[in-house]
Amino acid sequence: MVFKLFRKKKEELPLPPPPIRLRAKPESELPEISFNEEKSLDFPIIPDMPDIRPAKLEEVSPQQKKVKIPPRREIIVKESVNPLFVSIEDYNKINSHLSNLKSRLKEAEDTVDKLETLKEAQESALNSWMQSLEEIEKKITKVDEVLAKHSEIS
Amino acid sequence: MEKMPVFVKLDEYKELVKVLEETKEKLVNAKELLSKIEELKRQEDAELESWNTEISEAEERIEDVDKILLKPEQ
Repeated sequence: MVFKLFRKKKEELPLPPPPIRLRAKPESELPEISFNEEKSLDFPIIPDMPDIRPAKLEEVSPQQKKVKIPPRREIIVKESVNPLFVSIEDYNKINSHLSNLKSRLKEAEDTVDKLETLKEAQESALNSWMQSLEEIEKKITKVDEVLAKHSEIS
Repeated sequence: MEKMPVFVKLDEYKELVKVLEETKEKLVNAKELLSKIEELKRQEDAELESWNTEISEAEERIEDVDKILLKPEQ
């Protein structure tokens, strides 16, 4: 039984046709092409397209024309993570300005100290002046009293 | 030979700009305070001038009183 099955497979199947070999034709068989030959080329016929030109614009005098100014672009400085570089000349300039500012600040501090000293001296002078005024007031009162007494006697 | 530019790297640029802005504000504040002090100084000078005039007048009156008191009775 088993052998019978194998026997059927052994039957030879028909062979496929051999592949067709493309072989270049010899030059003698190629048609001759003459370049001087004027031959009209057949272009395809393009159908008419619908008219899509814009309608005629109304004439506007230059005064009536309103020029639309495009809105200004806001300059947005992006936060850059990258390091920033300054030219050595600018860097030296900044350093010079900073040292100048430092010396000016020192001068300003000295001036404030002087002003404070002057203020203290001024306060002291004002206090003594107040004392003098009080003494003058007392003396004038005394003179006034003496004169008043004198007028009573006379 | 053309000199090539040299650049210095700034690490804390943002911090630097912030400090600079704060310094500018402080300077404006200091300028305003100086104007106030100048105004106070002007007022003080005017007050001192007025006191000086009053003292001169008082001095003149005292002189008059002195003259009257020292004048021999007739």
